[in-house]
Parts: sequence; C-alpha cells; structure tokens
Amino acid sequence: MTKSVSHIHRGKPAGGTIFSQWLLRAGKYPHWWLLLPALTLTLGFFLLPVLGLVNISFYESTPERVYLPNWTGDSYLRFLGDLWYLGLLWHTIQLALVVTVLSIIVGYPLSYWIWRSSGVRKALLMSAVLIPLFTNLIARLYGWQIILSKGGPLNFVLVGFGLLERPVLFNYNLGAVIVGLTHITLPYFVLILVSVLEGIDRSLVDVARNLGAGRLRSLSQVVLPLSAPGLATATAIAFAWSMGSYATPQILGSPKQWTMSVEAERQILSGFDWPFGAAISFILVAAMLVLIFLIFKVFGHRGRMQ
Amino acid sequence: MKTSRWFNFDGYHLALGVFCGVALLYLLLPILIVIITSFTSGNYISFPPKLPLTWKWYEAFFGSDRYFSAFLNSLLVGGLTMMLALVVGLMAALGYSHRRFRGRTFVYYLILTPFLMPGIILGISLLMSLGSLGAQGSYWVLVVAHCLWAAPLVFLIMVAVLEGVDPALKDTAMNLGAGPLRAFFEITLPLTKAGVISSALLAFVISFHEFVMALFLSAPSTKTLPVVIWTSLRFEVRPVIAAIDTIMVLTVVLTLLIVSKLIGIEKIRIG
Repeated sequence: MTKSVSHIHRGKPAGGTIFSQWLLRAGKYPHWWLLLPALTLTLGFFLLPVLGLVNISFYESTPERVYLPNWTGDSYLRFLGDLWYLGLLWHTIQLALVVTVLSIIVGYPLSYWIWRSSGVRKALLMSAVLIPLFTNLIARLYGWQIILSKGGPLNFVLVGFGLLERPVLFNYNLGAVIVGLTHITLPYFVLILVSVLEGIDRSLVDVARNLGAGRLRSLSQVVLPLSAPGLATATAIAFAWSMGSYATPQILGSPKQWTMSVEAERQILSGFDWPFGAAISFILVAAMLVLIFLIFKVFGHRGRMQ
Repeated sequence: MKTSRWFNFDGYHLALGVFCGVALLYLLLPILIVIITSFTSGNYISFPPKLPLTWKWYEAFFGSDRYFSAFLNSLLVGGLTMMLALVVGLMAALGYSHRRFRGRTFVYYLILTPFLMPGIILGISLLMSLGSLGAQGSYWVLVVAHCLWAAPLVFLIMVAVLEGVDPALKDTAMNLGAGPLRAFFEITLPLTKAGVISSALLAFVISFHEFVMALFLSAPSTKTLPVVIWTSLRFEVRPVIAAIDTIMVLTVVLTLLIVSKLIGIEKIRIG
C-alpha cells in the first residue's frame, strides 16, 4: 500500500487539489496519526502543565495573592536552607525505599508461586491479588484503620489469647503507614511481575533442576535474570507510587509521618503559597525520577519496560 | 516424597505455601473487616460489630443525596475515562506496533511517563494551568486527568498483547482487499479481545478509585465518591463509610466475575 502511495505522489498530482496531495502524503505515516491523540494528551495535559508548574515554582511568594509573577529562586532556597524540609524529603525517600523493598520481599515469592501454579489454584490466587487492586484505596486504608485501632480485631485477638494485658493503639505511627502503603503497592507489583514471568519458558527451570542445579541456584541463575526487566518495572512503579503517597500517611500516620505530597497540598490549598508548593512538587518529581533511573541501572535494564 | 495436586508436602513448598498464605491474608484482611463492620447496629465502628447486624447503613447510603449523587458522578467519570483511554491508548499501541520508526523508544517512554507521576503532581499542575482557563467544575477535566493514568495503562497492556499477534494475518487480510479499518475490526480486534477487555476494565477501575486528582479538580457538583468518602473520613468515622466501601467492593467483584466468564481471570494482566 505504501508503495503505491509513494508512486502516485511522485508522479502527477493524483487528485489535483492541495488537500488530496496532503492526504496522500499523510497516509505515508499512519503510525504517527495513530499516536497523535496519545501524544496530544501527554504534551497538552501533562508536559505543558508540568512546565507551567516549574514556571510558577520560580515566581515570588506573597501573602496577598497565590503568587507574584517575578522570577526568583527563593522557593528552592527556602526548601534547601531549611533542615525541616530536607528531613521531610529524606523521610519521603526512606519510606518509599522501605515499602519498595517490602514489596519485593513479599511480592516476588508470591508472584513465583502464582506463576508455578495452574488451574483452579492459579485462578484463586489471581483473584486474591486482583480484589485488593480493584478495591478503593481509601476503603483499604479504612480497613487498616479499623484493624489497628484499640477496639479493632488485632487487639481483640491479642488480648483474647492473653498476649497483651490491655488493648494497644497500633495506629498513627510509622509502622502502620508502612503496612498500609505496602498493601497498596503489592497487588500492582505482583500483577506486573506475574505477567512478565508468564513470558518465561517454565521448562527452563526443570532443565536447570535436571542438570543438577538446586532450587536456589535455578531461581537465582535462571528465573531471576530472565525476570530482571519486569522486576525493574514493577519495582519502579512500587517506588513511584509509594513516594507520591498522599492518603496513607494522613489516615494511618501522625503528622510526623506526613510526606512531601501532603506538604505540597497544604502549601497550595491551605497556605495559598503556590510558588513554594510548586517547588516542593517539582523537587519530589525530580528526586523520584533520579531514583527510578538508578533502579533501572541496578536491575540491568534492557532498554524498555515489559 | 508424597505429592498431591494442591501441595507438595516437602519443606520448601510448605514454607512457600505458608508464606504466600500469610501474604494473601494480609491482602484480603482489611477488605473482609470493612465488610463485616458495615453491618454493625452501633453508631460507631467497633470490632466485633455491635449486634444485631443490620442493613441500616446501606439504607443510609441509598437515602443520602450526597453519597448517591457522588456514586453516580464516579460511574459517569469512570465510564467516560474508560472510553477515552481505550480509544487513545489502543490507537497509540497500534501506531507503536505498526512498524519500527525513528524516535520509537522515546515515544514509548513519553506516553508512559504520566503513569508514574503521583496524582498530586498531575492534580496540582492541571489545577494551576486549567484554573486560569476557568475549566474547573466540568466532568471533562476529571476525565482528561484520569486518562493521564488510564491511557498509558491501556497502551502498556495493548503493546504487550499486540506483540503476540502475527502481523502476517493482518497483511493477508489487506492483500485480500480489506481496508485497514476492516482488517483491524475483523482480524486484530477479535485476536486481542482479552487484552482490550482487561485494559478497559483497569481504566475504569483506576478512574473509579482515583481521588487525589479529583480532590483538586472537582467542583461541589462533580465530586466523586472517593472524594466524598475522603472528606467525611477526616471528620467523622461512621459505619456508613464501611457500607459504601462494601458496595464498591461488590461492584468490582461482580465486574470481575463477568470478565472472568468472558476472558478467563488469569488473562487479566498489566504489561
């Protein structure tokens, strides 16, 4: 098809009008036409607004209005010069790292098990992973809030078995935030990893085992390297989503556990300090992208997400 | 060593099985707890729930204009997001898989980047740029914002699915005289049905649950259910929230059952 189009194009103008010539020329690039809506969405509603955000982060803060359009680096200096804000960034990164590592520790064996299962067991395991994924985030956090509260089931069981003398509040601390955040990232992590593992030939494991490799060895030398690109994608998404966490620290944590996202929202919606809120947002994104880049480096990324 | 169909009773499989069992309990427990507590007859959340168990919080949900109209808003925004993201993401995946071209990898990452962005960043930047256009309060703002997550997800899934389709089939159809549209609807679409359905489902679910962007971009009349729950959760913890959550869980489980009948549950995947 492409051939005939270019032939017509090179010869006499086929339809005569400029419009039909243009149509024929456009027909040579069907892939760009198909990509156009997605690129418009990305450029118009993501890149452009984010550039606007960066622009505003360089504006001047003022108590009277959301910003004064004079260029200055004050917001960034204020952030970098304040140990509290630097501590907030470090806390956000640490939290995301812990949650990501936990997702790998729990998620990899679970994905491996799902991959090795078949039939009814596999369907059941998959639904168990899909149900939390398809349950509202706030509903799940709410569930954790009930579980960890003083009158909740955890205390009910622990006191009932005599392990605790009286109910303890497990809520509103770092541990609760980590438990809640991992609960959110884990299903995504497992689902991505399982679909990557599905692409690996299962008999390779059996071959390795027949050739005398132990379980650990076949896992570390066959399955792990083959699943590395998928593991990188799953890890990056778990990391990105936990680093941007907004609801979990507020529902399950005390203000000490609040993250960069919470602070950005507070500056913008309650403080009406758009430049500073924008600067916090941009620092969050920049730190996140750098760390995701490092994750891909660590896992020996093969050039594209699976 | 004795083996059964379900478990191999050696130490390795036992350890793996127990570990995964605990992991699954961890995943499902909060959802079960929410469902159980939604039937309490007390005015506050407690565990075990106050007996006798009642439906009164469900009646409160359906009787409340605030919650029910938010539920309808969520369905509307979710449905529109699903359609828009499906068209945009599927077209992009077809374009990407069509052939190799310059800048292909770059385009791939460019389209996927919004998916990695925290909702707060997308919400804030859209608020700042659309706020000046006075676009707040329209459903379309929410739909477009949600598409920033949903369309890349559809793209990611469909690129992977299209890789499994033999391009020779489409070429044959076109050589036999089918136009590109007909080749798509009669060859490519039927072959990728499972991927299309599961990515549409995920697009809907992402929008149905998203609330950070909605928090920034919705007006009082377009508030979605998660936004309303979020605001009430911060001020009053009432069992009606548990009832709403249960309804949302049931909606999704029902959808999952239908989908698993259509395409098989193990075919739902990301990437």
